[in-house]
Amino acid sequence: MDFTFPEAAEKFRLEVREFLKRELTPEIRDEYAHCTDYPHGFNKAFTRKLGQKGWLTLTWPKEYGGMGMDVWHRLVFDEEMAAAHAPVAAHQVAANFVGPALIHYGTEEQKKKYLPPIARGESTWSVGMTEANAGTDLASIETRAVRDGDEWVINGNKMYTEHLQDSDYYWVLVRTDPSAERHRGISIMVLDMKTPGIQMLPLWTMDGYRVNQVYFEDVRVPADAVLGELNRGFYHLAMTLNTMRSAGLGGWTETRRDLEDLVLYAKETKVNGRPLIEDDWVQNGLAEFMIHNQISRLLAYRVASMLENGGPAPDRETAVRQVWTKTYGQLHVKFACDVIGMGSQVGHYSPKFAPLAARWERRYMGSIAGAHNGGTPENALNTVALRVLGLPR
Amino acid sequence: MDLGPSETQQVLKRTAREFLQTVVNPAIVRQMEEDRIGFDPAVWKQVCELGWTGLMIPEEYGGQGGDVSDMAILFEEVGRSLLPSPLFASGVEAALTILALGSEEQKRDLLPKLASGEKIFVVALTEPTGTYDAWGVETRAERSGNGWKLTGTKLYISYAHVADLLIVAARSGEGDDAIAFFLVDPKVNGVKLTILDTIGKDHQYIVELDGAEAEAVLGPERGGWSAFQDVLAKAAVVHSAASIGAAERCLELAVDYSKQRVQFGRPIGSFQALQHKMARVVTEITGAQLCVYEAAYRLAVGQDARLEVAIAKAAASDAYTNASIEGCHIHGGAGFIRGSEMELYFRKAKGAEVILGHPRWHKKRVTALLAEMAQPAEHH
Ligand SMILES: Cc1cc2nc3c(=O)[nH]c(=O)nc-3n(C[C@H](O)[C@H](O)[C@H](O)COP(=O)(O)OP(=O)(O)OC[C@H]3O[C@@H](n4cnc5c(N)ncnc54)[C@H](O)[C@@H]3O)c2cc1C
Repeated sequence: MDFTFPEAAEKFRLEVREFLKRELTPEIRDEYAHCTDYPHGFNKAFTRKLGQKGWLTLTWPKEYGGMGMDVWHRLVFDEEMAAAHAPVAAHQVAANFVGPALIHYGTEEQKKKYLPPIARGESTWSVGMTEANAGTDLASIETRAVRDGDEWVINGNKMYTEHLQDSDYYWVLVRTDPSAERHRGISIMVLDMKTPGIQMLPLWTMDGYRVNQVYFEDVRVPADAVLGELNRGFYHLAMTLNTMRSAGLGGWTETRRDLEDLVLYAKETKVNGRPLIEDDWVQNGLAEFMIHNQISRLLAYRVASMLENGGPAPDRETAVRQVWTKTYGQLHVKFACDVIGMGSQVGHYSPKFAPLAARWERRYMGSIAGAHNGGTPENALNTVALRVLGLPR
Repeated sequence: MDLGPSETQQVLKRTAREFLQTVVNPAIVRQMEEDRIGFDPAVWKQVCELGWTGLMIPEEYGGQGGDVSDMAILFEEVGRSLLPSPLFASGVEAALTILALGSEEQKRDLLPKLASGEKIFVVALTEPTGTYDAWGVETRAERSGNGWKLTGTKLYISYAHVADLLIVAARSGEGDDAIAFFLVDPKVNGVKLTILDTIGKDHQYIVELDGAEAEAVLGPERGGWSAFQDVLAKAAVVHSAASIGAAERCLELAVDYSKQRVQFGRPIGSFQALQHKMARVVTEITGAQLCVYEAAYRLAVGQDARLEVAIAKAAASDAYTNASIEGCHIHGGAGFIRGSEMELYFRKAKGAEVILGHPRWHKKRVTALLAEMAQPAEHH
């Protein structure tokens, strides 16, 4: 039984910390705290710096621009990035979702073409799965790609795509065989965002972030735009989603910081002369917040340890972790707001009256999107019930 | 970082499960609830021969030389099986107490007997207030000649009726420091044992002490309480591991039953309302188990584990309680008929929840520790 990081990873942690201290300038921090378009900060220059160090692709094989390191290095990196509120949106999807997927099922040419720029932090990707009529039920996508000579012609729509306005490439799920059983006629394609016929309209989330509604009108892509096997896209997707869900394993550190600040707030804030933290319900809620955060941490470590032992993201652990984060995240945001009371409604444009810099006002609005992004809480519960417990459909 | 049982521990776990499957089943558990002794002496003998009583006792005192993480792994299986026996009382609580407090001479005398199973020792700590805080020890120790006489009421003392020696916490004055642990032969005058009627029918006793003479003090006359905190921590973690094992069994029963039981022409396990209950239960168990392992690990290697222990006990108790409640619901009528396996776990879960600190008590500790650690940070 062992719960310690390998020494090399701990040494690496200090290096990352040192780097972030130096490179995360007040401007970047400020941008992160108040940025409009992104919940997780978007900064291409900063992403490129990480790319130069090889830190975006710590665990990739060396031949594709990776560092060939163990998963603990990546975990340490994730933890330090999240704890420091460092911007990740410019590389997150490319490095943690598209890259590993390509390594798994891309052709050699595709790997050579797309992976090194991702590793250098130079290309930004978005993912287009969700459509107006296909959310949780992804097998019902309607966007079609029809073969025309050496090309595919794409028509249809995508919904809620993040940071597409700044992306170089678009990884999309399209229907390539409408006559096949619905899971079997789906493929994955890559679109260069310079291709004519892609139109996007911004949608704004309640907390002010941009996602996009996308329309394809006779978008022509070359035959080799297909990633992986034709018509096997849905099966590739399952594995890729697991990989995506095993990204952000360091995210618990950001929540731990939130919790520590909340504890401090409850210690220092007096109600009629008595510190808030002396209230029983506050004590109990803080403890449960801490327990759940501890479990988030351990589940992340568990997923990491499985990755380390080879192979793709583990079904059981990944699924259980999804339920955990999606079910309990919401609870504690609500609790934190309860602790703050009247002030929990105040936004950062009224800084004088916004407790904890209005963080929980933002978190409260973000908690809904946070639970649904990448799959809903109910979907996570279904996955555990059907795939982990083997319950009947 | 493997976050789980080592290979040796996995072997221990497997052998334990195999053995337990041959010696205990729901009917036996039920029968033992009504039994005067409460466990099968022949099985107890086997348990001792397997070395489980001495698992955490160093070899020089006749034990196996394992640590608290080994015991935790073993207790996942013990908890799962609901084995009725004084293993926790003697092999965990008493063994840890003697190890933590006893003089060299006392350890040499007592531990080999405990490890071999020749003797059963039982710690008598809790009183009617039910707290594990120092203020809960109200039993008085008064000097009498060269020795001590004890007066007070101990409550919730498991298997006191088969103890060869009670290890009684009592105070000789005010303050935590004035608490000491006294060795009392339960057969002397002034000790009265009465069985306590509990939901788990698990042979907890009322121990009334009325000027009962102590044979000796275990270890020091002062300062024992602070050394005893390590005992409470380790015992809480081992008991939490038992809760995890039992919770896993509750989940298994629910999943199996829901696959078989048909209503409206479908197995009830295909109803999403039930699926989501079970998905939450497995999630809670998985999370709590990791907390238990981490606490056990930290205790075993001697790191500060105050926070981890409190988290482990709270999470494991909550997970077990919830697994037993949902398990019963999923069984419908079959879940509340006496003698069903499910109702056994439901009742036993209550005892597991409140022993060694109710989850609420541990949560208070978690917050107290957080408040102690919280510092205004410059990194924001
Ligand atoms: C901030 C944000 C960013 C996003 N970014 C992207 C992106 O970049 N790319 C992308 O492709 N998508 C993105 N999404 C979309 C996201 O993946 C979907 O919102 C999600 O998969 C759910 O789909 P839906 O919104 O259509 O909801 P629906 O699937 O319509 O679900 C509505 C409700 O019904 C429930 N439900 C559905 N099916 C079941 C079932 N079988 N059992 C029980 N309950 C069920 C759901 O749990 C939910 O509560 C983003 C979403 C958000 C909020």
